[in-house]
Amino acid sequence: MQETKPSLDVKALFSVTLLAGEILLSSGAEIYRVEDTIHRLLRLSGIEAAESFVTPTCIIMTLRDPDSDTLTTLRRVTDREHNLARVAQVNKVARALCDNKISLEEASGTLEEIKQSKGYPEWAMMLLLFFLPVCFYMLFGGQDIASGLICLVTGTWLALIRKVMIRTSLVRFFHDLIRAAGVAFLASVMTRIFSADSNTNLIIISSIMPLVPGVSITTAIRDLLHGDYQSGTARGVEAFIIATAVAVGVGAGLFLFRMIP
Amino acid sequence: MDLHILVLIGGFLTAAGAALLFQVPVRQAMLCGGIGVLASFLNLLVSRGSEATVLSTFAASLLVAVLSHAAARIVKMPVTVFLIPCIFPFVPGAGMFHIVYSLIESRPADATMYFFSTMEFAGAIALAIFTVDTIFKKRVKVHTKCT
Repeated sequence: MQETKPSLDVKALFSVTLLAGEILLSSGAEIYRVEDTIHRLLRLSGIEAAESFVTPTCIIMTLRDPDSDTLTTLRRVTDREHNLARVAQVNKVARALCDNKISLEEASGTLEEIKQSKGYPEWAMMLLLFFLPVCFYMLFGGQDIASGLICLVTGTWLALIRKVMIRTSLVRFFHDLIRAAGVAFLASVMTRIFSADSNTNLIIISSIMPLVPGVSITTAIRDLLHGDYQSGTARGVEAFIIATAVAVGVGAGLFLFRMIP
Repeated sequence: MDLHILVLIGGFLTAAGAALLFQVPVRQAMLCGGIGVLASFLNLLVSRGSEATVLSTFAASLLVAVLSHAAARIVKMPVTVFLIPCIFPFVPGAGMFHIVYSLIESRPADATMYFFSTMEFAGAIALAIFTVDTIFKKRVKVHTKCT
């Protein structure tokens, strides 16, 4: 156990820890990584009584100092997206802090920079979404060139709708629904226009792969097996909602196509 | 044979693409692509070149998890950075589509069947990851120490 370091400002440490935890959680890190990081950082204060409780939507942490007040805070985390670069960077900062390689002020500054960092530019994301369906089509054993080109069309839809959706403040559910509906409809229409024999189902499956919540399902089961039942069920429900949105979207798209005589 | 090469290329591109979509730095994303190729090769091998089965998905996920842990140790980054993008190509999106499609075609029995097979695929992936997690045992039991 580490000795109490009087030089360490407990309150500053507390806020740095909260910031680190918040960035980790909002970037899609696993629950136990967030809790582990918080514990490691809080233990730097030399106070043993540090507790944290993390769910996918909030962080509660407390530090009971017998000599002074008890510090407790709650931070609500609303926007979550996978940004694994941030997870890696915060992990690095936390490690350096634990090894006393950087000061608390430096850590705080670096964390703020990480929080502000933008990541890849928007056009790169759109380009990725443009190409991902055709990549999935290849992975699933598709070899028809015409179908591959149709995948590029659905990819264009995914990329364009991302651009539009960022501006509108639509609920995530409808966002996914509209994307999936467009994909199913476009794939069906294009198949009818160009080549009657190409496999529409495979095109649709390849194109909805970037939308399906496979990662959430997997993380949910992983959390459950780890004993984090709170986050396991929460992520499971999140996955279920996204899956429903995509499914209803595909259904709507196919239904719309049937309406065309 | 040409078809299989296409599948392997697809394995690289989807894993690397997913990594970039999740903001992983370019060099690590290429590593993810490499893991993706090996995993899709194993997937092909176990399923004998046809569609993925639960067993082949389990094998591929096992390989992904082992390689991700290894890569994480080598470049000193969290396992998540490799694990999430590389698992991405194997998640049961097709099963989900078939559930809805069967419902639209008014075949509820098929929908139920696809529902259970989708859960099997998801379970196989989770089990594979969890097995490897347990072997590497990175998790520190913080709760027992701090009370």
